Amino acid sequence: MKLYIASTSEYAGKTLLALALGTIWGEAGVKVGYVKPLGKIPMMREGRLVDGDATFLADALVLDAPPEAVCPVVITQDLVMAAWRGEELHLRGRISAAVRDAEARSEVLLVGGTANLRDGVFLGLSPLEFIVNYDCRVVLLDRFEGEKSMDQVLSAADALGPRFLGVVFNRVQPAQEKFVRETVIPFFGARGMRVLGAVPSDPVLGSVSVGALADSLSASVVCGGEDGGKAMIERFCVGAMDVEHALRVFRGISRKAVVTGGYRTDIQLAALETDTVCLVLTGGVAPNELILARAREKGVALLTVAEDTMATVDRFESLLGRLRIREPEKIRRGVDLVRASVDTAGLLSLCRLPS
Amino acid sequence: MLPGELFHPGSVAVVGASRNPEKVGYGVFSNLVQAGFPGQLYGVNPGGGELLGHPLYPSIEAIPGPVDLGVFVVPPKAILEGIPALARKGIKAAIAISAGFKEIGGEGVSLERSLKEASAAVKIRVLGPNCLGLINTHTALNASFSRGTPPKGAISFFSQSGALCTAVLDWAIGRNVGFSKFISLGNKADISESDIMEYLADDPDTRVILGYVESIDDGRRFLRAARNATPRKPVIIVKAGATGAGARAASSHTGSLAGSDRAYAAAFRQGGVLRAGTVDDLFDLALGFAMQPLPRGDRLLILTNAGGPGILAADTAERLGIPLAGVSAALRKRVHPALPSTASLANPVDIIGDARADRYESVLSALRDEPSVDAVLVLLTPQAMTEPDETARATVSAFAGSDKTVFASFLGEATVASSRRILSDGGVPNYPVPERAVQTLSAMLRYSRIRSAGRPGEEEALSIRPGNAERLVCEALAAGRRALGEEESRGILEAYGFTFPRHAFAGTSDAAVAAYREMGCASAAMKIVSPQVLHKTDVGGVQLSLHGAEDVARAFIEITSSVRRLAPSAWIAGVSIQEMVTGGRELIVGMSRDPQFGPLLMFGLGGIYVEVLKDVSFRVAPVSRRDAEEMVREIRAWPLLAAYRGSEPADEGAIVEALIRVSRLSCDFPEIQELDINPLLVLPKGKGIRAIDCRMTIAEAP
Repeated sequence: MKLYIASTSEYAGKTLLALALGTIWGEAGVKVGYVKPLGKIPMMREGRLVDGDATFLADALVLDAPPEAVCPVVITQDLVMAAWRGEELHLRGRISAAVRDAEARSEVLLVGGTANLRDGVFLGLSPLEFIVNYDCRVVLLDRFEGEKSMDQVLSAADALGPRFLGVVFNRVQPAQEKFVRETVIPFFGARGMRVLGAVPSDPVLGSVSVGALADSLSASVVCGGEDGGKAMIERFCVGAMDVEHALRVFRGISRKAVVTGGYRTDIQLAALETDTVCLVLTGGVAPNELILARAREKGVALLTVAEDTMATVDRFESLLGRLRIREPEKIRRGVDLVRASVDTAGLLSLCRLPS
Repeated sequence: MLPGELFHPGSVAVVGASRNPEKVGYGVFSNLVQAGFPGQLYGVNPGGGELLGHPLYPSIEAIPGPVDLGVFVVPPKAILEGIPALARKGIKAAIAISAGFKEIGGEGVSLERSLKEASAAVKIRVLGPNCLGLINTHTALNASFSRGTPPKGAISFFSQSGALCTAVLDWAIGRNVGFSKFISLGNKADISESDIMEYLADDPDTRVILGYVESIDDGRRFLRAARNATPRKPVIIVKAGATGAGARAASSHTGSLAGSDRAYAAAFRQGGVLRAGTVDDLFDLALGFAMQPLPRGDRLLILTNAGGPGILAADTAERLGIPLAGVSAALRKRVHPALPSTASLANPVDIIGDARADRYESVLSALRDEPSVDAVLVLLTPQAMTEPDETARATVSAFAGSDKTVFASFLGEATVASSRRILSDGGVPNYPVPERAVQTLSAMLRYSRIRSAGRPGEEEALSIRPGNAERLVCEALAAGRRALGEEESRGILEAYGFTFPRHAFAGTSDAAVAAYREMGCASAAMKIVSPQVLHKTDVGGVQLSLHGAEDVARAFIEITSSVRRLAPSAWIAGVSIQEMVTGGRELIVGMSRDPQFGPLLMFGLGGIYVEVLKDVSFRVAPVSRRDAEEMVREIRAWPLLAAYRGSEPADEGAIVEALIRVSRLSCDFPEIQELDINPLLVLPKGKGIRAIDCRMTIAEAP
């Protein structure tokens, strides 16, 4: 039996949910499989083209299957160009082979969907068509965003019909919890739609490690790179104000990275005075010796980049909040969150019901 | 407490004494010898031999007798080894003159930490490293590499800058100003300005304490030391890094975050420290305090031989709030016969340009015992008939042994140079321009007030954390919240006795109208409730004076629509509807935690007074009732609160109470990093205050 994990937007948390369901149901003795018909994170691994997310999940869930069986189609530049040119793509056969193969090896097969119910149509791979053709049940993930969620969930439910088992809201802010409980869940309930869970927004899941940050900023790690720069950054802020104001701002933000000009030693000291994980010094300036000593003393990572503050912040913004879960700390945390806030047992029994 | 051996050693060892006159190790040893240090002096140099008539010992172990004070002029690693070795010889204190520690960063930082640990392990207090050394003229101890030794006197000076030490020293020697102690603090690895202040407060040879600081690491200890010292003797400090640019320079120089200048200003005020704006001011004040008795009162008489300088002095006096003494009938009668008819017997007393020393003398001797005058400023401009030297002598002798506070300002240079020396040798401070003399008098008057006011009365830091506040703070921290809006911080303030107007939450316009009706108030205010919106007015999230259901419903739509438009990513929970409080004045009370001094309270009148005019007062918490009262009255807008054009005076007692409560809250909850009650409405006398809006920032307590 197959459970399709669909979402209403990118970065809604599909990989996390698949990982958590695989882990939790696996613990309960269920043989859980995973297949991602269409992957869009192409990467080479041991000379083979694989999908980043699918490979990660295959490793994490210890699926003993070759990469092309976990993700039969990965969107590459070549594939996109072929689609533009209207060439015959012959993808369906690969997909059906992979699904049949994975299904044979599992009791519940989790199917990782695309970002929404439209993505893949350009390759002749409509998610809705897949769901019908392979007789999938569907769980929908939605980043909770007020009435926008109403639009997204209602229209998806409408398209999916009886195959739709329920919705899981993700990244629910603390201030929204009461509203979700008292208003949102009853709203969908009254329309015969199950809300299977509301996963709270979580600083750890939204965080990035110093090492990963250094990589994506092409930064040099002056200190704090020991054990792979594992310290996790949850928020970031820019230090371009006067020092008193900086203290004010910095105090309000925990586990942060501070981006500031290499010469702004006052800002750097203020950052070191507050809950800071990482200092990013811009402008290709070597850090002041005293700052470096203080950072070492406090265990704060110190990165330098050649770019200016503005460009560095741009890079940051494209990074935080759109992160893929890879670090063990985040995996543990994510699974725990799903365990605590999603009715996984209920979802399993819904999957097992005859259609 | 610093060991007495630091200033009064019976024996001194100089580790690194050198025969090479180019080296610091030679300079230090030769200063000790030339200043005539009467105790045992040991030079340590691996080469042995002799230096300035003293044998040099090849090692610390080879020193034959016990040692009280160790002076190190060797590289950092040798100091680390030398400290325990000298400890075995009995030293109680050490001076680490050598550089190469924290100021060079990197390895130097850990060397400095090792120095601290090594000395703490053998219970030795260390001055420096990276300093000029120390001088005590009263024990003929010059353990520094200064050029020369200043004359003996009553002024003591400590400085975070070695360079400034040399400059002050040179000034002291050049102007023949007596000093008691010179302490160059260097990197302050162990001994800080607070230790020195504590020591000098008890030092019978010190009458005036001067200091130059760039950063104070333990602000609260400094405040304690200052409070202890200033009732006994004046403490005058130049604090560098008062501006943004200066603070940045200080940060990169010292590697410690320069706290806000407001915190320093507040702490200096609370500690009774007189702050000199410039090094010039520091000298001016030092001369006044060291040479003259504190004024008994504030009545100043200006004696001059020219109109202009007299007017300048009078201007300055008035600007600084110093009243010019009225010339009494008795005084007039006594001096009249000696003066020409063109002389002016008003104050300034102008004995005109042809005044010779005898004319000055006749007035000065009359002033000596004149009960209507507390302070005298003698002005002299060198004119054809003027006798500067004789006039200087007349000034000195007229007031010798008197309790009047006397200053001179002999203007010019070429013809008055020798007279200045006569004045200063005679104990009358001379200032190049009259304004500076008057400013010094003003500082002395301020100090008299500080001294007579006594201690401010410590605010008891009870550290009682009311259960409700404790719970709210802990819950918010556990939920990972940092910036708390009104909804989350209100309860914490309520636990500290703050009253908010009646309020209710409403998620829809109907609910808002229902809540408004239930409150039964004529006029209401409405505010957005959204965790992402901390500055509500910026996004149209506040409406005031709503009368009637229609108004309330409309306000709900307007507020929520405006926030949706201007802060599209903010989650709107609903609105808070509050009873409108009228007839009060808007105040702001805030707190932010200063890295050096801890909670810094802020008070001001709301709106343009704070935002545009920056009319605010600051104090370091905990504040005493007197501190809180001063805070309220210190702002320029205070008259607006007192009573203005027939309006009722505000409830000052309630404001004072509010400041004390915020002070207590900040001390009880180190988790609270910042807090603002804005606006805080003060009602007319007897009716109290209402907190209208508030926010806080919290973090795990260190």
